[in-house]
Amino acid sequence: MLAARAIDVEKLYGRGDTAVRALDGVSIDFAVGQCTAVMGPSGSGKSTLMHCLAALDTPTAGRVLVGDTDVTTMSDKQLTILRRDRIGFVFQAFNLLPQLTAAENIELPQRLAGHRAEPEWLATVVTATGLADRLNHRPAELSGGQQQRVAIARALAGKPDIVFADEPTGNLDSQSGAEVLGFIRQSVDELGQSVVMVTHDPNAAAYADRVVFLADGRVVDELADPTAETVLDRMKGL
Amino acid sequence: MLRATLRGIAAHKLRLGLTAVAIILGSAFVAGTLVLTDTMRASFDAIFAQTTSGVDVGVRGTQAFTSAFGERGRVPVEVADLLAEVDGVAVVGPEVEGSAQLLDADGRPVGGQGPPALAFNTPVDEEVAGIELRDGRYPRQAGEIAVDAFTAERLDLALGDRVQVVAGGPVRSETVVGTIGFGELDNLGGSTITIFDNATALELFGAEGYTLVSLAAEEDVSAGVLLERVEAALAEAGYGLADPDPTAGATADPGAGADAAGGGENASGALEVLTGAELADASTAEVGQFLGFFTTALLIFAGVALLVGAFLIANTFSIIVAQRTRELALLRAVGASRRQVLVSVLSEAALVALAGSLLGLVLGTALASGLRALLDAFGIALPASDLVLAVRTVIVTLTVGVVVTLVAALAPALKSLRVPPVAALQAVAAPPPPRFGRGRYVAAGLVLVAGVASLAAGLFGDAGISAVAAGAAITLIGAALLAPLVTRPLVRALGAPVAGIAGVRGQLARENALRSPRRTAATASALMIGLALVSFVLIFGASISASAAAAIEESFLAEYVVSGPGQGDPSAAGLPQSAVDDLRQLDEVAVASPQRVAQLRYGTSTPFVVAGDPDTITEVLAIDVVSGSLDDFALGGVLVADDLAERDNLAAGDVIDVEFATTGTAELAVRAIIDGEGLDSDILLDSETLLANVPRAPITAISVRLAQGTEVAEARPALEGVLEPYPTARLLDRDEIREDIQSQVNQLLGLLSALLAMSVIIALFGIVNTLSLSVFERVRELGLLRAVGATRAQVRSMIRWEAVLIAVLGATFGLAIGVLFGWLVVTALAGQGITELGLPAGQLIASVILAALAGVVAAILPARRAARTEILRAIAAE
Repeated sequence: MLAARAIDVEKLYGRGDTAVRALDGVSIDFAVGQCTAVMGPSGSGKSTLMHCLAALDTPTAGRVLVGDTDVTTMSDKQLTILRRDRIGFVFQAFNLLPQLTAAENIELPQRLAGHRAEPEWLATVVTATGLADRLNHRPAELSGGQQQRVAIARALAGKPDIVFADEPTGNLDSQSGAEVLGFIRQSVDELGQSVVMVTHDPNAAAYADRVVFLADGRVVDELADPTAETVLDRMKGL
Repeated sequence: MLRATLRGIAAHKLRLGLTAVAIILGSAFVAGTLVLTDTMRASFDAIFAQTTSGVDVGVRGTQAFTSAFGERGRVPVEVADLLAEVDGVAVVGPEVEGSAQLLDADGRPVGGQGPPALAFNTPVDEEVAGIELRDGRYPRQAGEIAVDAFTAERLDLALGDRVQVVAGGPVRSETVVGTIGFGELDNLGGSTITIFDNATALELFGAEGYTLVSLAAEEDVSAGVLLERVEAALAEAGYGLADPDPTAGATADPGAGADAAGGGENASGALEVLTGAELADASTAEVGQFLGFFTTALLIFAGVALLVGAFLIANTFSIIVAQRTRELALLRAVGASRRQVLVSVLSEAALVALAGSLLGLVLGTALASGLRALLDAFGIALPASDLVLAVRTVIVTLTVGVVVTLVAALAPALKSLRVPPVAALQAVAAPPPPRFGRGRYVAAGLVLVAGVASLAAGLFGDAGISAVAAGAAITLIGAALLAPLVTRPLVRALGAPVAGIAGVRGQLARENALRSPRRTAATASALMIGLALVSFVLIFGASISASAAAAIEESFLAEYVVSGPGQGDPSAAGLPQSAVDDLRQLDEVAVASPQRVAQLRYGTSTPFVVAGDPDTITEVLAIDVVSGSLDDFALGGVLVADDLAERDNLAAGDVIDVEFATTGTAELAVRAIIDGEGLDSDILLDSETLLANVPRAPITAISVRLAQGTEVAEARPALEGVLEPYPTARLLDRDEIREDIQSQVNQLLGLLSALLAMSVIIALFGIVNTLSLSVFERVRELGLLRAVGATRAQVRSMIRWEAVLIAVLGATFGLAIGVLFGWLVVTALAGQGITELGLPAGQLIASVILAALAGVVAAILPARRAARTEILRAIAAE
């Protein structure tokens, strides 16, 4: 059983002579209950890959499966519902709606679906993220690290098949970053969550179970049980 | 800097386009009004020039003031013979003008509801009369008529056809022997025209003489010379001559008639002698006065539309300035002075205003031409003169458009001066506007109070109608300035059920509307103006209906009323005395009491007065005598309503001076002071007195009291039977009277609402504009929402609910102000018969619901745009 799967995914931007091949036949499997880091230099296609995997963008060719659902043939509405019910998101910044409280932001996908999150699960997530006393605050009243934790809580609240995190610590100082990464790790270990994290930071990648390296739109390397040092070594080789 | 401004305009086509819409619609209203009324004026000029082209000199009676009945003294029949003897007169064309209503095949009156149904005698000379025969011949004897070619066509009348005509008495059956036209025209401005033979015309309309005697001079005699000779001849024969100043009648110069009256034996004998050109000018001046009112009324509505537009423009520019903070700061950082930034923002406004008003001018001209085509289609034929686009129209439209825009854009532009250059480098591009300080709300409150004070001064004091208009405008502006203060709690309250209905979408809509209360309040305020006036009009209308119903209930004793033609149009012929006599013959009828209406001058005003039959009026009208007695009412007396008596310090036994249009001044004895509540007029005359001074005062209604023991419904067939020869009469029972008043009020409400629709439409564009700009600002949030699972439909729904909230907020403000206006005006008019404050809850709620639906419509474009947000671009945007 896989949490998500990319099969020969290609993505072209533009047409003709000016076309850019962002993804050039990428195939990766993401195991359930694992945290996978996707790394690569700027322009390697790592963000594009994540967007395709997360049903935010559609590949030009190839297939993307979330669980065992083929998302490449779905309509916009089906994709939206898939994102809402089966995928969690953590972006680098602007993760939260400023007019809603932390609690409302966490429950947003469920409320868009017209129901509430499971109360016990929600309590578990809130306790784990340490947000219990921040729930009625608006994003403007939270620190950057707290905001990212709210985003992670939102991603987990709906028990998604998979969580995608795009540079989740990109805007944080090292201490808050470590806190957020620690929590991502915890969600994998204790809650059995599957996570895909795009990052360019070897320290962040070290929190993953596995690192996939991308360059020029292709998978060029892979590393299991990474540490910051081994990741850095591999990156130098790219 | 100009280049930067032009670039700015090009880069923000949408928001400026929407701003321009406000200017275009407002200035189109102004331009359309001016072009339409100028064109109508020119058309009437052409009509009068046509009808008087063959006249060198005209002789007619005088009028003391311009009454709605067009009453004027008559020219005694023998004067025509006298004029024929004057040296240099080639043709004498005596004219009798009256009112005659043609009936269609089903017996329904044709025309007369708008343009009048006129009747003339057969012209002695076509050129002098300005009439020409199109087909057949002129009538020669009783039973023959000619009609205008347009009416003939409309009624499908051929020569030899029989047609029914009502001309004062029972219905007549006539044979059409000819059709006539006026130069190139088939018709005079939509009126239906019937030509009778001379004897019949004199019998019907000419008992007191001719309405006009037109003269054509011999070839070698000039109009001026002839005029002098005619005046000399008339003076020699002992006729009083009035100053033939063509404007005297139109401006109702006090004393003109009275002075003239002093010269002759009595006022009714006074004549005025005019050249053909003066005759045309006098008619033009009269029409001009009416068109002047018409223009002013339309311009008031155009002003309302522009006021709403100003709100929209101010709001748009303050959003634009906020969004452009970074751009403006960059300009400052690279060395632009504050002045240059101000000029840049203002010149952007000026360019948009100029383009908008030019388009408005074009649109307004097109509207006027469309309206004219519409009038034409309805048979109101105007001479084929071109649309009149006066230089004044162009200047006024452009000036108004540009000035309104610049004034509205000034405050936001000044705000742009406060942008420091360093803002270019700061991450937050658009800091939330600071909340108004307490001082500004106090100032806003003072504006509101000043507005209400001015309103009250105009309504209750002597400050006049302009104080009322200014007060209303200032009140609305004050309310708009105060609006942000109550926006938060109101939106929260209104949003609670929305969040209940629409869940998180509703909650987001509410929170979005709350984000910038000033922006939300400003957008809602634009709608407030329209809704305030609409709800005021509704309340006022309901108050009129309720007051009339109460008056009928309290003081109207009759079971039936027979109402004359023209729904109270005073120029229509009214009911004949024979109808009263016929009704009195019926066993079912105990009392048939006719009511006449006329206009007289009392003090500085020319009120409508009602005259009743002294013997029967108390049988049909409950008159509460405050002081004095009704016993001597019949003997040349008047009854005065208590309000008027109080104002002018009158008591029973006093004598008041009044002036009638054709017979001049008269002294009337006040017999009693009566309770004015429920009366149509403040002065009640006995019919003998009125008829002595206004012989043709029409019977506008006959109140019928049934005999004891007669059931109301049972009497109807008999009454209808008696009224059969009078097809223009309408028989109404008490319920029908109420319905009749209601339907007249509704007609008026419909018209006013249609005129206010323009300002509501502009306000809706304001909602479109604000939401579009908000959507543009919130791209990132919209992308996030879409990413975490909001469907396009949910995003659209969110924007729609925000629009509905803003619209309902505006409607709520408007309702509050409208109720205030309604209450003030109704209270002020308590003495004028508006005794009840009507609150038409259903209509008011309906207007709020309509506003909400309009909000949904306004949200269509912004919602679509929001739903189209590209998720990736939105979340990638730094």
